[in-house]
Amino acid sequence: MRHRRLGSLGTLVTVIAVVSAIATYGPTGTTASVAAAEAAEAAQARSSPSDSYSVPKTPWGHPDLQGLWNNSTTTPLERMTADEQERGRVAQRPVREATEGTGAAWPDAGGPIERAFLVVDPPDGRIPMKSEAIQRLIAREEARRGRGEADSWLDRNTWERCISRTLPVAMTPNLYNNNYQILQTSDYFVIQMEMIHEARVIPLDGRPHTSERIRQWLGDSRGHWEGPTLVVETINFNDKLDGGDLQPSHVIQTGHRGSGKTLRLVERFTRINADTIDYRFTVEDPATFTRPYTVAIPMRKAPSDARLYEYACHEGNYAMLNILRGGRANEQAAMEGAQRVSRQRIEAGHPGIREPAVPIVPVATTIK
Amino acid sequence: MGKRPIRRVMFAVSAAAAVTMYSAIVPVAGQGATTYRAPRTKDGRPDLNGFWQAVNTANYDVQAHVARPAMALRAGPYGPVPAAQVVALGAVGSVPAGLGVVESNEIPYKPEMAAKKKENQDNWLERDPEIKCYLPGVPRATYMPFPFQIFQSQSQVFIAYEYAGAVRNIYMKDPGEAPVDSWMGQSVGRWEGETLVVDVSGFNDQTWFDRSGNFHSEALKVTERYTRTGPDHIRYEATIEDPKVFTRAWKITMPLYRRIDTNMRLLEFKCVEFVEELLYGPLRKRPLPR
Repeated sequence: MRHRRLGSLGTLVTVIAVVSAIATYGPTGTTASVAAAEAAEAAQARSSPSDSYSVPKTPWGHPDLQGLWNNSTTTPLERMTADEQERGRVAQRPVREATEGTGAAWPDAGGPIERAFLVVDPPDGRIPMKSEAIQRLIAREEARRGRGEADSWLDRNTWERCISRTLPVAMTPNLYNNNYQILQTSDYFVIQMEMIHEARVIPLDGRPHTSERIRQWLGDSRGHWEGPTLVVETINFNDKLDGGDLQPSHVIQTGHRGSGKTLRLVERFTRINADTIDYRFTVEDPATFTRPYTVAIPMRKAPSDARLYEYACHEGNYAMLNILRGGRANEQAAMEGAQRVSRQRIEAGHPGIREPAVPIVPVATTIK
Repeated sequence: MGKRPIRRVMFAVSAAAAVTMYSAIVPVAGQGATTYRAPRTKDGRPDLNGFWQAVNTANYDVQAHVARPAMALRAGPYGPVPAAQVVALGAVGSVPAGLGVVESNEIPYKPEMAAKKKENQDNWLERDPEIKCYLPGVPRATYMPFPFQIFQSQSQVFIAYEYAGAVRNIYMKDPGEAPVDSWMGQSVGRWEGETLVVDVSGFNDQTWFDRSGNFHSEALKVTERYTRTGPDHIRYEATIEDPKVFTRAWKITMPLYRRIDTNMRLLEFKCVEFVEELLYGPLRKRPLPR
């Protein structure tokens, strides 16, 4: 029992590692002590503009962060053990094989930043999950037993469904569309995310949060300036940030690792030079993590001729149709194969044997 | 304009009332040039910032129309009745009347294109992109029954629509021809006095103008005009040109009303989730009964 539980824990850890690795497209290795030192240094550095840089101001006197920014990087989210890195590489192999050498121009994975991982607090670079939260994910995975990867759209993640990447994940880089357009007025800070064309409208006028009965995919944000830094607090997320109970853990997009119901996200945007915003977010979710953790991802100014493109995700979502059709086709092929074998056995005259060679799983009456 | 009773003895009381009533008598949509001078943004432009919404039934049908039983109809024994798929909605599924927003009320289709509009209308349930939560395009996004928010910075205007989280960047410096077709088109803006003029091009042919099947090709070009006519009103005009579908340009006009609710904000209408059963339901491993 203990062995099985550890095995499940190991699976989950692999799952999380794989998920982190795929999301950030390439782990880099380092020893724990060096990494911890680097992270501690990085956590202190670079969160305020260097002395020689003077942030331009908008006409109403706020720091001006407007423009098109990109946060592509191959640096992974967390520090991973050598074993996790290896499992991540193994899991990534089909993705690498599918995209390498094909002239695929669209991946915009960027390169590594000067840190070994994006988590800056805790200094050891590991996102500190509570054991209850890990158990919850393990239980979810086990409750999914008997479901395929394409039984319905609920088995796919919210990014594949073209609903939302959700927060904080939407502010972390993925394989492409890592572009953010920032626009400011005296009362609003607007971040337009290219992926799924989601716009975050952040009021700066000190208004209260909306009713806690209004729970949204991107929560409810309020912002205020602390010197050169915009501080954004977001609460009132819905409870589907981890994709809902049917979502398998081993999906490409990492969601928040808890449901979102108890999530409070605090982000800080500081322009530290003409080409860089120091962006960092702190996740507070006492139901999921033993303590808050902070991730820092630099946002770099895009070339002056770059622009956001419309990402009409849902309108062009042939992937979902084909994933589901593929699932049904696989089931049909398996059924036909089983029936073929059954016919062969009967024709070969097996006395008294009528059952098929491959057991047919009875259709459950529970509708999902 | 001369119907406000102002008596000297009640001047102090009616001053506030006069301010309130002034906005009601400023000419709005289609009633000629406005004399209103909008407050300015910090860089001296008319201020369009805020929450706006059209309050009409143009999204049902941009032309003048009487109320009807449903959007999807079928032949009944004594005239059309709601189609089977919508009859359970009753009056909730009925179509309210509209004065029409099309100037001269005529949409100048080429003859073969008029037939296509009728076909769209007859097959509304299968064809209207709004039903599938697809992006609404321009100008339909403006008169969806949802608010939208306009943001103005020095170099850019941005519009966020509550419906489906649709967004539009309005470039105030022309970036050249649209590199690729899109649902919401490419918007390029300029100021003409009190009016923000937006030229939109680079559309695909997938959006409709309303629920009545009015459509366009990828050759569509839309010229919008946003003019403040009072503290809480914008006159919105959109000229539609599409030489593949229409014999000439045509124009719609309507007022936009400021949403003045306390702590007004756009909420999410991420309707993609709401249409998954519609679009993918039959592909479930175990489909629900339909």
